[in-house]
Amino acid sequence: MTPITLLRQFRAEFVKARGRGLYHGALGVLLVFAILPLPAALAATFDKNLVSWASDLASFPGCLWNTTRLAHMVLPLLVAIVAAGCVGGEYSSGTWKMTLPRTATRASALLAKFLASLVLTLGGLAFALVFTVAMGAVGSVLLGQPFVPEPVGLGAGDVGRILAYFVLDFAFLIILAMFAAVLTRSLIGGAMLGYAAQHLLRMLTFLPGGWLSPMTNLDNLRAHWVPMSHFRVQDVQSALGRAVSWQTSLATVLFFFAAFGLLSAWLFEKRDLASE
Amino acid sequence: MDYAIRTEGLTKTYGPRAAVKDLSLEVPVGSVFGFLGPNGAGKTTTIRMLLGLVRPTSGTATVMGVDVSRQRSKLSSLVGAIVEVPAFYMHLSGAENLRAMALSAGRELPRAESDRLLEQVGLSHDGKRAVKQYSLGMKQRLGLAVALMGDPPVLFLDEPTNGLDPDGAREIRELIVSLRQAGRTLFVSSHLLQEVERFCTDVAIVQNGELRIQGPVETLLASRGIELRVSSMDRARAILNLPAAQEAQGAGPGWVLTEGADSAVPATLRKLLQADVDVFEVRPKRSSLEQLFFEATAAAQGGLRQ
Repeated sequence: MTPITLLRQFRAEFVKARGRGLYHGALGVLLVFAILPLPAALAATFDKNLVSWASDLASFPGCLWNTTRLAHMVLPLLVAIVAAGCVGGEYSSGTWKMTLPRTATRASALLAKFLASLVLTLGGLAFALVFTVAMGAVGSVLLGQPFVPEPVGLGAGDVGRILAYFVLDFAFLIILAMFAAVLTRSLIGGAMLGYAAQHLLRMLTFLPGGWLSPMTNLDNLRAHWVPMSHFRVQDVQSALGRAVSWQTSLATVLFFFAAFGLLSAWLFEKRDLASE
Repeated sequence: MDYAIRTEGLTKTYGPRAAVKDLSLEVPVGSVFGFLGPNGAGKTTTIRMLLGLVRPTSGTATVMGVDVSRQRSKLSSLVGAIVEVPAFYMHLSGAENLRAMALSAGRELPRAESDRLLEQVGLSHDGKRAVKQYSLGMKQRLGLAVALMGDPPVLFLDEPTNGLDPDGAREIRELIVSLRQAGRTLFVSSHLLQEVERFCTDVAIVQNGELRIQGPVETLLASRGIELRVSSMDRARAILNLPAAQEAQGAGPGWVLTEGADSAVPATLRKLLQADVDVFEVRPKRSSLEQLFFEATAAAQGGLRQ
């Protein structure tokens, strides 16, 4: 595997993603949440009881926090669908048999898909957030209030931690879905099992040694790193049954990430492409 | 002799069922090798093993000296393939599919190269159309363009004329012949025997995953005598010392079958004409691939019944 080969395989994923309905659908769902500040502001112009709620949605950084919170209801599913689409879609459409005989290392093909899924999903979220800021700005004009009502108290460190959390969160969800897609050799199987696996891993929290659950440790990182998150540190640590530092959580998540990644690569390398 | 593809005892089992059993093939460099067999004979499984898509249960296979199980990374620059019905990214155009597949394989595909490939397979006017609008025949051609990317020395074509109309099938046959002339080795699986006979230099026939027969087409279909259509069959048989009931030996109705190679024709004609037996037609008696196929597969079925 050379960096040039990897870069080409990474670019291939963007050629394939162009005009793909699956990705447009996922982005469309995110934009439904991102557009909210505008209808909220419109509604508040008719009903004064909604002004307080609408003001929060149509201000900065309130619009970002609200959209992120709402979008997080569907983000795990969307990320699983996009990642499973990237790998499982090749099984379901039969295109692996066209490309794999010409591919020097299968691991690089999988790594390129992982990186492309990460960029596509994070890019989609970033686009939705920019869109929600624009909607918030328009909404604040409708409400006749300043878009940034008070100075934003976010330093570079805060922004870095928020970014780090989303990269880690998406990377873990993607690797889970990829593993599921390689295991089931299908798009639908990958998306369903990948999404179900998130919940199964979260349920591990209730078993002995459950504080090692990667999903709950991701929640712990979110509580530590993302301001205005609806996850509070004490709630997450109560679920974990002990005080777990963000360093321990980070190490746990990285361990599981590496384990699922290596398992996917091994399975992808060793398994027959199809058994028909 | 140099072999482009060699297998030794290649076997693939799925549970108790053997899809391919102890297959030993030798495909000469520069040949068009017809890999024939009825549906379910193990042709596609063999091709998948030779491409490194499926791991053999036992046995070895090499392509241009590269072990397909142990040196898969080296295999990627040596082979191009169509396996069964070619699959594509349906929302992309033909040209975009070529680009995506080249990049997926870690290669750049310059525009000029993409245009050349599309032209070579007769899709130069349809390269910008979405593949979902392509007919089966057009997809087959695009699959061939994908297989030709990077000019690999060995091409595996699994039923390459599937779904093509007679004109399309003829074009693919011509393309196969031109590819062979360019020095490539082509491994072509098919169940269309007459078609294979037209362009293959070597064949192997498989049935139930087992090899029945293999060799150069010229040798396998060598002359088995001379057939003559004459004015008097009885007199001709008497002159040529042939038994009365020849149909059992394979002579066509109304034809006399005599032993000998093509070089024996003048002497035979001379004998008959000197004895006032008119000869209206002379033809070499050869097996067709179809006959060979049925003989090879029927013998095995007979053997199984016994």
